Amino acid sequence: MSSQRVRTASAFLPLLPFVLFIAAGIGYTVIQSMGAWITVRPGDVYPAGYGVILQSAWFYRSLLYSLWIAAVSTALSVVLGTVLALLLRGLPQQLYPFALVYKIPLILPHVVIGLIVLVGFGRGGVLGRLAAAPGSTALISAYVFKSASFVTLLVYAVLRSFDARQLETARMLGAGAWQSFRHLLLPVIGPPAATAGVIVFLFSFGAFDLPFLLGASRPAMLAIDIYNRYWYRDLPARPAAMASLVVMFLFSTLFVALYFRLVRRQKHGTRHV
Amino acid sequence: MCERSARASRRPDVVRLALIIALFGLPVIMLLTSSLSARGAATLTLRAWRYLFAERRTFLTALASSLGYGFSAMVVAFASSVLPAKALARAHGSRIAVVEAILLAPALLPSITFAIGVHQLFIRAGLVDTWIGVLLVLSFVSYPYMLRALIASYESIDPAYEQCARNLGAGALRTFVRVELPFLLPGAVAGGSVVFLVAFSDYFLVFLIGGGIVPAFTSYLVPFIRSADYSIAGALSLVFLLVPVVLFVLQDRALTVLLRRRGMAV
Repeated sequence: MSSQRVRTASAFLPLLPFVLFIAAGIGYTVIQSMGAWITVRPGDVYPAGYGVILQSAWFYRSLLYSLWIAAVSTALSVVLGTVLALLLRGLPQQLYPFALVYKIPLILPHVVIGLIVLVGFGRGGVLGRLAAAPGSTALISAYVFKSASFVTLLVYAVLRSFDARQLETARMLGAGAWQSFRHLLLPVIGPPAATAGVIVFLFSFGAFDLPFLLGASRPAMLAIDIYNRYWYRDLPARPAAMASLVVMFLFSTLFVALYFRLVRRQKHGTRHV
Repeated sequence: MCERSARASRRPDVVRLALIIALFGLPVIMLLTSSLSARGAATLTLRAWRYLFAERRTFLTALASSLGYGFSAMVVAFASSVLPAKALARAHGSRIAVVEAILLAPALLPSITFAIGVHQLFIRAGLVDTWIGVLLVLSFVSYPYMLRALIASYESIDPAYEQCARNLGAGALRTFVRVELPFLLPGAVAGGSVVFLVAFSDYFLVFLIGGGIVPAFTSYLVPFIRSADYSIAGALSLVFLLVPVVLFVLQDRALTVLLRRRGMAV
């Protein structure tokens, strides 16, 4: 039994270096947030960053702004992505290959999505007249464009195995459109939409590339704010930057845990049915 | 009569399809037109394409470097994930679920939360500004996609197959290559595609760890976007669309041929 356990444990050795590096990176962040290891000289110690960020307005503003952008992007992506998946479901087989264009945003790098939004919102762009795009609008559009197809991908995967005759039966038995949706479709598409939503939220909350290209500087997304404070200020500013990074990490961990809870519950759900 | 009603019922489908194509196809056309237009004017010009042709050496170096770490990340992810995936697929219990969650988490966590610390470590290890350093940091964030695909593949393999092969005298390596690998291949290819895309598309980590010294396609593109030269940026972006599409078509052909040769494809 115990040799079996040793064998299972040793199977994880190939991934150990990666996990250790990441853990060390986070550890380094925590240490610098406490004011130590800012310079190579061992004697140099700065005040910890937590007191600074708790009393500063920029930190709360950036944190709330990031959460808000992430929430709006997630809500729009989930709704749009689900609607798209429902549209795809009804398409006849021979038209489906053309609809595969919905996967384009999945292939394109974030910096290209950023470019598309800049060109689209720019002077002479298709959307130029629609909005004199402030940073938030551009940023949310980019996130939604990228993430909606991700939601579609996950939701459509379960919809494909959904038997449409159930809807017909429900209609024959007198169910209205809302009732059919609520009791037949929602239980099927809800779980993948929820897990996709958590992933989209995490991504829009903490990614760097898109706000770097599109974002406003005030208020800034947390990732950008931290990056700028870390690199473009004096060394004494570093503990505060790292302290906000630790807070960001804790928030993210919360959502990662939520994701795995959802996935686990879904797994058990299918097993019992 | 019957045909006409069939056609009439198809019309909404076509409208739906047109909507989807407009939503996702239009941006690509936008990139193409911006690559062909002069700055701030509505005239057609090949300036951007000419520029890229003249600059083909830097441009191709950047592309080759990005393709290189993209493919290498795939190999690294496969090599490091096979054994853990098997162990995770065969073991059960809440403790193993926590291990699985921790191993998959690096793909979900915003990379900046550990990247700045990793950068400091890499400085001490001499890995900053090196191609290997870039590959390493990209592996951190991309291997979970391979791991997850391989776990799913292993869950579909009956452990009895392995036992059979062993009983018939096959060694561990032979069992892996002849019995397990064919089952793993489709999952490995699917996971590998995502790993490649994540590594190939990344800007922030490459820029942070590569320091602008390691050539990269995203690092080549971004300055054009930031200086609002949307025609050259547009032309470069089309390459980003083309490379994955070409690779996926090739990979699909290769996989079909391979599986057919083994008599596994229908």
